Amino acid sequence: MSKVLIVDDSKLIRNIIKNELTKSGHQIVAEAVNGLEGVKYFQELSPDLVTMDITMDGMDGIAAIKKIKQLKKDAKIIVISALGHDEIINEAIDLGVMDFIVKPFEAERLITAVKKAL
Amino acid sequence: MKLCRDNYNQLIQQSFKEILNLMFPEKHFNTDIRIIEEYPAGESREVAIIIQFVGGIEGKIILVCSYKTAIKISGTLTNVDEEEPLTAETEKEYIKNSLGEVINIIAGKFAYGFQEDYGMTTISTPAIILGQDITVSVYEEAAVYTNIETQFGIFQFIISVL
Repeated sequence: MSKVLIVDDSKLIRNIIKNELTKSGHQIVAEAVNGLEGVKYFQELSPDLVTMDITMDGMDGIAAIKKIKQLKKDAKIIVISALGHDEIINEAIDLGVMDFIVKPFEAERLITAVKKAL
Repeated sequence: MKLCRDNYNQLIQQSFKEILNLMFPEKHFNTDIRIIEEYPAGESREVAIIIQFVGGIEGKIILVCSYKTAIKISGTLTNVDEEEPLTAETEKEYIKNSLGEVINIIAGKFAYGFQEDYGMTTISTPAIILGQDITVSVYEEAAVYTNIETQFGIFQFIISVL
């Protein structure tokens, strides 16, 4: 069982991710509503994987990925975002994220990405 | 899809269907989503959710609907039985968390579509306004109105870019 941290400002999306990953046998250790909270939970809980939204108030996903990567270079992060621009995808990939899922997404796409990342 | 004002309707209709089909397959939603000419005069305008486009193009996308419609879609998407009863303090957050994400995804598709002509465009987080007979000021000459009828009720999308 892998420990997963979900970072997304939408409860709807957090619930979808939580339901699908729980069904696949993963444990959701925390849910964060923005990047700042995500970094805090990452430090406290050392999850095996983080799912990260991009557009969030406070600290956005790109800034949070940078912070997390400073804390742990090989942190496993999957981005799940409504923004699917090449520039953003490339920036995230350059920062070392494992996958980039554009919303709306199918559950199968999420499960495959998580399996591959872990 | 290359975006032009003529296919805004199509993109909204397609996106709405996609969200329901892809993200909630187990709910078997009715995806018969129809474009209608006018937002009905008798339909109230109590909820507005606004997302700004930032970067290559400046503008906004606004979703307007009745409170009843907003609660219906939010409750259906989030399984309302699991939620605590709504209070004046929680209703805004509740609608933002569900319907706000629907418009967020649609805004993301528009932002992507704009990039070819206008360069990199991103979006803000959704802002929600609850009230009665809400009117939103937009630059009318640059605004496109799309009205859709769904199983949840009627939604109006206003896309205004400069």
